[in-house]
Amino acid sequence: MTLLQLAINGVALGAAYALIALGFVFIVNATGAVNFAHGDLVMAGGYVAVGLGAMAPLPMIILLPLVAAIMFVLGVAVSLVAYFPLINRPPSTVFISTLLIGIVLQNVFLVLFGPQAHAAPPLIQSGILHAGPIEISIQALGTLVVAGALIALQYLVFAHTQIGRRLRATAQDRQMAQAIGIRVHAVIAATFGFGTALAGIAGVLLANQFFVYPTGGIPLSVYAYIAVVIGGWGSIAGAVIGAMMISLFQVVVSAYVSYAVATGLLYVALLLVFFFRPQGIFGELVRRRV
Amino acid sequence: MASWLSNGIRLPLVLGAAALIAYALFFASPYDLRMLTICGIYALLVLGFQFVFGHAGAVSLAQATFFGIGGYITGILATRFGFPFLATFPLSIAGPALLAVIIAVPVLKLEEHYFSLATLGIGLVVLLLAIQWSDVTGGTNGLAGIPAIELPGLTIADRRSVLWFVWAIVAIGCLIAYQVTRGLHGQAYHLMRENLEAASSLGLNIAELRFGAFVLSAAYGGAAGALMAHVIHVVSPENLDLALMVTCLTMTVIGGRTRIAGAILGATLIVYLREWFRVLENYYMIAYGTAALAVLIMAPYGLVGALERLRVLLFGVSRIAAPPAGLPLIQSGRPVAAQRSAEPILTVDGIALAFGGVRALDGVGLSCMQGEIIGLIGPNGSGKTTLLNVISGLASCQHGSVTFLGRDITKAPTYAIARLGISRTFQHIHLVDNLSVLDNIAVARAGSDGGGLLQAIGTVGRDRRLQDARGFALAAAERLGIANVAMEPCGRLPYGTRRRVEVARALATAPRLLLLDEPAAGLNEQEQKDLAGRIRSFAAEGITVLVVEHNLVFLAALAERLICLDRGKVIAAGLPEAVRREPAVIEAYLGLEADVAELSLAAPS
Amino acid sequence: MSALLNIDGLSVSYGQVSALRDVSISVNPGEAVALVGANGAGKSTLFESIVGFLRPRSGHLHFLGKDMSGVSPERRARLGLGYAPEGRRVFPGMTVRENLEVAVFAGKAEREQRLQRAFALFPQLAERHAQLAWQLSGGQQQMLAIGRALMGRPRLLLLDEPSLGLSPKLADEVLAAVRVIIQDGTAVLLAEQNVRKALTYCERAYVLEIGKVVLSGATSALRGTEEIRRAYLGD
Repeated sequence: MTLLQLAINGVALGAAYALIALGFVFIVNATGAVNFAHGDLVMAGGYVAVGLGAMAPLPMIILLPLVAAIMFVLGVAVSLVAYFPLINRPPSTVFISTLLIGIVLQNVFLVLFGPQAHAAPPLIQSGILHAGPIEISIQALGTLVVAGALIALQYLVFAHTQIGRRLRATAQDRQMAQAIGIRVHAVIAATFGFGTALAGIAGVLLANQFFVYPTGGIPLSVYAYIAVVIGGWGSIAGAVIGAMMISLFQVVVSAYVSYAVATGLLYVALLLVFFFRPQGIFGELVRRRV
Repeated sequence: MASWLSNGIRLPLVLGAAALIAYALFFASPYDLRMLTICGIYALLVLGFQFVFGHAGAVSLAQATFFGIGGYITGILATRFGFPFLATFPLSIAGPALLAVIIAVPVLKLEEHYFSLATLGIGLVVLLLAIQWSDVTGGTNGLAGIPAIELPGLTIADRRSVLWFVWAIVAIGCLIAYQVTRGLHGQAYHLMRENLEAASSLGLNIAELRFGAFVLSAAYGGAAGALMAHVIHVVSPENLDLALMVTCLTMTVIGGRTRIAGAILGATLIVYLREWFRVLENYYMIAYGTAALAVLIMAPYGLVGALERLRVLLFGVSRIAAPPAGLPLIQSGRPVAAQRSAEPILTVDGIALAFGGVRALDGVGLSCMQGEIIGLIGPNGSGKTTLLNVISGLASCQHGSVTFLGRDITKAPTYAIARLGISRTFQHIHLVDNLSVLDNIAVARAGSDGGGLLQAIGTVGRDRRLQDARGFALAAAERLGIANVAMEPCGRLPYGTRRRVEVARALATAPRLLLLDEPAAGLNEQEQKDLAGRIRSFAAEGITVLVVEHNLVFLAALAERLICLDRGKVIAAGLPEAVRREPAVIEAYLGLEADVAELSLAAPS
Repeated sequence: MSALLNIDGLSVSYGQVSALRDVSISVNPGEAVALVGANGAGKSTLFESIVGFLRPRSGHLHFLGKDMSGVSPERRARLGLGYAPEGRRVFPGMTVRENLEVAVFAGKAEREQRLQRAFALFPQLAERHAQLAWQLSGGQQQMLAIGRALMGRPRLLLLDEPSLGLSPKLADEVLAAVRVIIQDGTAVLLAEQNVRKALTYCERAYVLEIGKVVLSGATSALRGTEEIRRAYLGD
């Protein structure tokens, strides 16, 4: 496979990863909490697609808004169980609660769908397009378009709407946001909702090509975590770039060595980033000598 | 013995343990014996995790990795090379510990989330190695046929013997954990969790404390992993994976992050919970996860903490055991010259520090002579606390130098500056609420004569270091007039007393220079007079005092010299009367350009 | 009860410290009232209680005639309480314009109108409307904080130490806005360490000393009194 072909595959995958990282970083920004069930919520989106696909055999692009709505509600529910009851505790407690939610989710999948992998219906249809020496599956193309549109939409909402401004204000100074009249708890719940909806859509996009299975979310949570760290904790652009880097790395490197080794090299690369630039690519170093 | 038992929830726990032991001796089926053995192994794992997660307060995600490495070392050496237990067990402890030592230096410097992710990354790399390097590790299936524990002349093969053996090791683990945490070392961890800045400015080497905890956790993890290999005779990648890490975290949080009993309780409960819920077949993990989440939400200090709260509710607060009588009243050990030396003890020169576009300090210089009391005044935001932070090492300046006792300490780490003889208090008081006044002060000695981890473990019987530290603490408490509440837990003391505890703590490091940040804030007039008098007595002994204050009445009775800052610059310095009449000071500080006569500033009474 | 704000016998503790003891103050429509006292006297604590970040141990707090106990800070803000805190606390990663816009809960046209009023009050903000808030100078951030608090068209504005860290000239510039704000129909409660400035711009004043109100009255009567001097220098 040519490098260009690999790059294209990497970008298509990276678009989906970017959605995952985006949802993850929203929640990090709004609450300071690391949601380690995020990958499992991606799987949840995939499973919802599988379920809906069995009931109504339509192309997923039509059912996408419904999936997003369901996932939004699920996200709010997760915040009510795993975040709000623990709002005054040290952040590590929320980390653990999301891990436990992840376990519950994984086993709900197991009970409802069994341990085997499932594929969700395609976004539009299966098939491959050719453009000269390059080939790209319709699914991958659809993924790129949907993810790209959502990232653009996210940017527009954040930068140009009142809702977006209120989300940002709550993330930057929760108390002052309250003091100007923002209902911060509703905003935080909505942030969980939006972040989870993005995760769910990513799940739908991935589930056709990569299948969903109960424990499939675990590596995705790790990738989201890595993307946000590489890109600089809290930076939205950084998270997207970090996600791209992970997928490009995976796709390109695993063409030359086994997938497992490529993943191992990814983690080693991460550790090297820590060693040489502990604040990530866009992050701020905290100046302390303690 | 009776008093030891009646403290806290020790009595119910001991009774519970006795009941469990009796059960194991007389009624347990082979299945139960196996279960209880597994509980012991996990208890050991959690005990180790408590060092890094509970005591040092760092969310390490490598604990399962250390467990797995210990298991694999045992598995590989025993099945491929036939090494006996007495060789494989120490190596299974040393291996993970060595790995911890290697990765500790870069990894412990990282901020919390990054630290967790780095430890996770290492774990994932090791997991991949275990799966891929199948020649050595047996790949996905792992290694089977690991023999039972063989000691010279004794094979520990039947389930009952294995149970006793494993729990004997757990008991040793508990003992070591107890040793590490009961003395000054444990209190140092406590203060470190409470507030990093206060801890390091008392001379505690945070990096060293974290390092010790991390390596210890790895050693325990390796030991537990090795034992598991011998008990189930198999080691596989499951011994290293994230699911195990989650289990370990869950057990720790549910049992109690810092309590030895919590490790045992958490491990036992989770192991049994999973067994009980197995009845639910497919739904058992869902039930288990939900139950664990419920406990997490309802019991913030774990079950041990919840039990203790219950006890307090039913029986009232337990007394803190008084230290043995005859505590030596150790005075400051640092020799102070009888006469004032001609050289300044502290020189600050041209300090500049800007952040976020604001020039917090802009070319600030000052010097202090031994035994002087100097007041640092200025409006809010003028840079007073920032200057204290630079001197004490909590902030780095961008230009300039700080010289103390002839040494350049500009770039020195905070704990080193504290050990050289600079001590400080803070605007917000950070005390450990559930330790006594005496112990809160005593922790200040952990920096200088706390000794290391190994010394803590090796202490037999009465802890001499702790005693000496308490002696210092008592002396310091006397100097501040709080010796009568020495055994009270700090959480219930009134504000004025807490302030005095904090000053006593700063004094207990036997400093040459004492930096006080708004010590009079929140004190009533009587308390202020009292504190001022005591500070004067410190200075009389030769301790130099630099006091940041807004309260000019308080300073009037105290300071021999005043330095006034405004927007990062020194705008006046000299005798108090002169400085207070300085127009620039009046305008900057009080905002009154009106004539000085309008505010006839009386001389100190 | 025509008072906008009526506080009666308020006592607040900050953990262990008794920060306010039996404080009673009131603000009427159209007034600019000063709250003076040394650092640590309790001014910020009082403001945080009014805004709703702190729950009082005892006493009553009525805003617009309604009892505020149990009312969340965001609800109080929407009822008409504006707050410009000590240290400004503008949203650092948002532009000047965004900082102002986010505080409006009304349609786009209304929002634009209020934005123009804020720019008219503080022309320096208009010049820098697209700049990120963290890049502004101290004085400009203070203007932004006040402008943001006014965007909700509050009935009462709480101004906490606006002159902090500002040169006297700049502080005057910021505080001159107080008179304009009063004319526009918003009452002001101004906490200040800087006695002279506070008394210049307000009609009435309360003097706080270690959590208690020790003096109150018209500023013309208070200026230069012993109590004011003592509150700061405690002679």
